Amino acid sequence: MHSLISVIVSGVAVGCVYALIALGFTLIYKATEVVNFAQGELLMIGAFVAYSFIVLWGWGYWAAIAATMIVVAVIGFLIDAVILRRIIGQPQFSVVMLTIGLGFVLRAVGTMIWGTSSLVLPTPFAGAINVGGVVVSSTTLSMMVGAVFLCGAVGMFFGLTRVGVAMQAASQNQLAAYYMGVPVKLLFSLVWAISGGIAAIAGVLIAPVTLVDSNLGFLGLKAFAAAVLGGFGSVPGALVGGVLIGLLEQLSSWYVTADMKDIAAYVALLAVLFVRPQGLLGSVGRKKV
Amino acid sequence: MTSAILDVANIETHYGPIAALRGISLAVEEGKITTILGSNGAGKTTVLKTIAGALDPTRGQVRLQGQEIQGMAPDAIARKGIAHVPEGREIFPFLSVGQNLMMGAYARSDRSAMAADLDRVLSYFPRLVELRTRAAGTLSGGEQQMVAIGRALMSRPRVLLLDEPSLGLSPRLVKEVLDVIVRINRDDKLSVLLVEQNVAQALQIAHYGYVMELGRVVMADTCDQLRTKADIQEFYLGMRADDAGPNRRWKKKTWR
Ligand SMILES: Nc1ncnc2c1ncn2[C@@H]1O[C@H](COP(=O)(O)OP(=O)(O)O)[C@@H](O)[C@H]1O
Ligand SMILES: [Mg+2]
Repeated sequence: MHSLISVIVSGVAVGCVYALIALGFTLIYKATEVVNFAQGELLMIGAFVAYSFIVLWGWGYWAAIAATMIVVAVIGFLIDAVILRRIIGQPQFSVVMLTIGLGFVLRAVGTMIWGTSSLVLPTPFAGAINVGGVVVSSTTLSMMVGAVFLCGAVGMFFGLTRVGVAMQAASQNQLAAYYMGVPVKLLFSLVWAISGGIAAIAGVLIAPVTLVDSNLGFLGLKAFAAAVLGGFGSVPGALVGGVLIGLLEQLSSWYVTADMKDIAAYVALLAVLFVRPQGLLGSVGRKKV
Repeated sequence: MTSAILDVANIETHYGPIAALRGISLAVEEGKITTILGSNGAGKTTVLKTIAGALDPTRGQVRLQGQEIQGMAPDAIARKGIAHVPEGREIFPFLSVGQNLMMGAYARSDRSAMAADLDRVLSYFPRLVELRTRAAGTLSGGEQQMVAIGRALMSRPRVLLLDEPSLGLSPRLVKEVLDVIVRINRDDKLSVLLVEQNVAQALQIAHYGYVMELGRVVMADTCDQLRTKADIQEFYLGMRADDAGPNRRWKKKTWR
């Protein structure tokens, strides 16, 4: 019984990280209507960069995380400001191809700089604690706490700050935001920076359970499934979808076979879309005003 | 026209290959209400969008206090002091009414003056006070129009552009909205460029008027003069026979 609970706990923990990646997808999509298929690769770069700071340059864990976040945020900002802005107004499929291509490039750059072997990211989280009879490793706990903390910070930023509210405004009615004097393009690049920063933290959080190599980029696809499962474009949907997929993965490998783990996300996605094409929390006929 | 705060000279604006404006010149005098009349498709909205920077003219100049602003980005033009209340209101549907209003002051940083302006906007539209926390998309058309106008006023503009603010409102609300425009103009000496389908009332509150037809200005005069012109009476005011309905809408009529 306790082992089932610990399976659930670790599923939720991994799911929290998927939720973060899906949150990054969703923020970019809501603001700019671009589906960023390179989100997983931003996560991968985050994990690599954190490895460099901690292992190669001997930085402390927390300083390294802050620096990693900034580095990947800058990469996200530049992807939008330098590359994507040039193809604005082109058909959606060119934009999609561009982000897929960017993903390949980032993965190649990752292997060129950091090599092909899996790296271990040391963390200060050791041992486990006992929560009401269930033993939870501090690594697992760090994933959950980190994700909740980050989601809270992102929520407060968008809900309470002047720039955050303006970002919402620009995603609801871009032209009207221009009429208010909002520098919409700059704000959209900042949304990319925020998504990059979130992806970086997701990479750092999940590194202890996955190791760090270029395959981390494929997590983006699972998180994409999570975002669609929850209802693409819905922030609560992305979070719920992420946790659900993490949970399903662990449960299916526990109840069925370990091989189920990697397809569980997609099986769940197909099943849900079959019954509810708009996703769990997506709304039908949603239209940007 | 030396006292013009906003001066539009010979602008031509295209939608792809289609010429919507074929050389428009008009001036908004400082502290006055200027109105643009014309049937559907005449190009009134296009004029306002070109001034606000949402469209770039292929020719001609738009000058704000003598400085050329045509071709600038719309957010830069807004920061120069032109506030646009677009056709169809274009509020932020999922933001609260209060957040919508504060978005108008996005480019400002004088917090105490902003708070005072917010109070003033709410005194113009007292109905918005109790709706402050509601999502703006759930409001009625008239309330949304108040939000759109209030939001524009929050930027403390030098020139206010209004595109058919009374469209789709009940007669009582039309009067309420137009009264506020008169008050703002009188109290603050705010310069207003008003596009209205409600010709009778527009001619009543405005000082100077332009009549547009197929992308050109075909008549320009003081509103007192325009009111007496035969074509205006016939086409817009419906005063041909004895049926002088001042609220008659022009929509079903064509100017051509
Ligand atoms: N987005 C657009 N694409 C192409 N043509 C347009 C567009 N918007 C307006 N037009 C055309 O430009 C002309 C002027 O339109 P508009 O400025 O909206 O007129 P008004 O506001 O006076 O009704 C019309 O002939 C209209 O069909
Ligand atoms: Mg119009």
